[in-house]
Amino acid sequence: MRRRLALLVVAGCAAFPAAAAARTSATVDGGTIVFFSDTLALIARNGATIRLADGTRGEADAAYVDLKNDRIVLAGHAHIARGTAASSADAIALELGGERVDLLDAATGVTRTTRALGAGTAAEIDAQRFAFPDVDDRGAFIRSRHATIVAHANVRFTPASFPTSVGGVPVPTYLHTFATSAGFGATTLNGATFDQPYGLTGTPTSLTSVHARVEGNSGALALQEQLASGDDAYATAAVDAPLRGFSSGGVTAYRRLSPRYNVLLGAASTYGIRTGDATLSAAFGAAGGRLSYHVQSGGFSSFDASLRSPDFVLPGHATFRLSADTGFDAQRGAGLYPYALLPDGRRYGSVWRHGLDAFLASPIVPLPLGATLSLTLEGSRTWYAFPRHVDAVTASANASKRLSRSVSLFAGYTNAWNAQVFPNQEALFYAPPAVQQLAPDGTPYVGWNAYRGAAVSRYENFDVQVAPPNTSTSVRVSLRHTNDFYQFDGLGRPLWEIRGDVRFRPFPNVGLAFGRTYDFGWAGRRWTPGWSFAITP
Amino acid sequence: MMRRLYAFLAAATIIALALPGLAQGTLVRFTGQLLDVRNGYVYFTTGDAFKLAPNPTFADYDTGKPTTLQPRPKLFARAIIDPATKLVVQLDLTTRRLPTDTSYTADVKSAVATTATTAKAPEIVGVPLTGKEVPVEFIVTVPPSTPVNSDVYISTDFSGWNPQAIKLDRIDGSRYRVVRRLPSGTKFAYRVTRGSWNSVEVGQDGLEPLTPHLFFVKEVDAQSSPVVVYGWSDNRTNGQQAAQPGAIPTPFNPNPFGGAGLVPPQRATPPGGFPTPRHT
Repeated sequence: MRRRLALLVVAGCAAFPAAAAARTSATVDGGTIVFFSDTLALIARNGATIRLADGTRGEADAAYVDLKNDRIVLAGHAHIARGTAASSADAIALELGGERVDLLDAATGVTRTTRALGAGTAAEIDAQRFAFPDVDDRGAFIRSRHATIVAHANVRFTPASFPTSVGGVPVPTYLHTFATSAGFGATTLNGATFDQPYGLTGTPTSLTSVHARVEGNSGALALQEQLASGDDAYATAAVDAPLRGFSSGGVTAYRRLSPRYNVLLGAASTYGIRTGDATLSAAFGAAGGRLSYHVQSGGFSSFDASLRSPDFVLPGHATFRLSADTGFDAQRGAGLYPYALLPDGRRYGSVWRHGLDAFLASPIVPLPLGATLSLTLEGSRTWYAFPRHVDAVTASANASKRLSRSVSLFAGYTNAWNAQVFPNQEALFYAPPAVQQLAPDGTPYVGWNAYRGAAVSRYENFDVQVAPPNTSTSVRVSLRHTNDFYQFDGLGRPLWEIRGDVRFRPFPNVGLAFGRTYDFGWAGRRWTPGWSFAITP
Repeated sequence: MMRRLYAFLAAATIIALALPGLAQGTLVRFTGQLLDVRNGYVYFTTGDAFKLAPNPTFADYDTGKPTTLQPRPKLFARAIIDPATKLVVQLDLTTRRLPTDTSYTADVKSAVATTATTAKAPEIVGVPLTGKEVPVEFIVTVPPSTPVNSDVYISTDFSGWNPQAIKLDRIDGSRYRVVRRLPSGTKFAYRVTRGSWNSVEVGQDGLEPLTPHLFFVKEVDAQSSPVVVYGWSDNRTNGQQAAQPGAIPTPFNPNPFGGAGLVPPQRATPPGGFPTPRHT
């Protein structure tokens, strides 16, 4: 009950500011309205009527609204009226936000006036203002009969139909947003195998939407509120409620303080764990630095200060980067894991650490037969105040070969070595297990006894990609082999997997993408994580 | 008699074969400092640009032999142009400053693809835009730190900044590509992502770019939009290893296997062992 109440309160708070601030710029009615999402062109035919916010009313055989450039063209028996003033012409060009009105008469030429529709003056024809695109309706994204426009923000169609070659998919109303602030891409929702947003209300600086999602194998509904101010700042909040299990929520805010600094604040609650994060990022030329603080329920917190060098170009066009960081991990009221395993574990409530990381990347190296190869090598060490250090070395190689304009082959190999070293404490931290580890099928797994703090993980992949040129179709098949230290009949990552991804455009205005993974001989598990599915514009 | 006839036919054949070559005239030259070589064009600091032949020869300016120099800004070059095709068939490169060669000025003009101009862009002056479909090629070069098998997408304003709006196909280890047919006059802003706004491109300074990439589809036959991504917002070197499914298993990543329930060695196995995981 409390969760439902909280959901309602958040929904109300989220929807209120957006709804209150929305200001309609124009409405368009027509026998048929078609909308093209790529050009943001809206065309009304079979008798078009446009009403602007200041009371101006236009009618014509057809009308074109260029939502990118705030331009309106009334074509064929065009008539415009405001109050008691009125004018008629063969075509009329006006602007969503401006005062200028051009009336084109086939016999007398162009007369220029204002929205007040006073006496006009003769003017040279500006063909661009009267340009009316010749479009193919089959490529329309939406068909409708009524559209409500909020300039530089969104357009709502009532009703809306998404045309396909076998018929339209109708919905009572649909809000298409085209706000220019990139901050509208930010979200606090977790990743999902399918996420389809449905806009409720919006303004140039806000958007409230419902998301129909599939997370793993369960459905979910999410409510999201986004606020954006240009490209300098945004804030977003979301509540995600899977149809079974726990709900989660989060808030994120970003602000560009200056060309060299930005700050990101966030808070989230997932599965009962509440977290808070604050990050200040800075740029020093091509180098950078970051201060970040993380706190979560249960008393755990961490702080990190890091510096990153620019990418140094080495002879042969290889690149090299260094980074260093220092910070601490802390556990309030108890010992920090794994130090809590020590007899005096409570002493280790906070532990400082310092790290160094080096990253080396080769250029793309041409190989015989037209293949290419690229290599990376990364090594890092983190020292802890408690006698302990963690080392990691990761090397990867990626090769590619283009067989034709449509078919490409890719192969990759990654070798990651990780080690956690506790000088003089190895026996305590890596003692043989008192109780034998059992695999999911109940059989003993003896390999764990061999673990002494270091493990190697190997990953190989071989991909075939078929992407015919000048089409929107792409097929990718990927065979993957993983070889980890601890990997046993359903424990760890599957040994062998094959994944297929298909992307195609069944209709001119809609693209579809499917993907699925099959596991070989992995504790009876075959398909993970089920289908991934996306509708693309 | 027959011998004379054969000789006449042979001479006629040679002349006929040579005529097209003669009609092409001699090659012409343009000398200057390089500004850039990209998308099949060579640009000089004078503002003049010439289209390159499909397989142009890059040679040393002094010796005329193949060179290890690659065309790049600040080099000096002599472009040798075939007046028949108006394409640059050879580019002689040198690091030495070259004087301007004016002897071919009149012939070069016909081969210039673009030249320095103060004319406004078509979207400003209103060059008629018919809305014809223009193939637009997006080529994204990703940084070496990009995770293996990443998918790369373009997020645009006209798709509501959906981070997976346009998926790109991989070309090689560092480049991705997609071609979309967009009507001329289309104007949009976009950013490159790896499928989520948590993994969006950042600039060379490690911060999110001040503005998205802006693109305008001109009234042309084809267009290209090359983008270099310097880093991703989720790149965290030296980061702590997360305890999550798929992470490298260690005693300090106590539950890397999701529902399988592996625990630190000190804990006893529950009666009947751990449940067999079905789906995670």
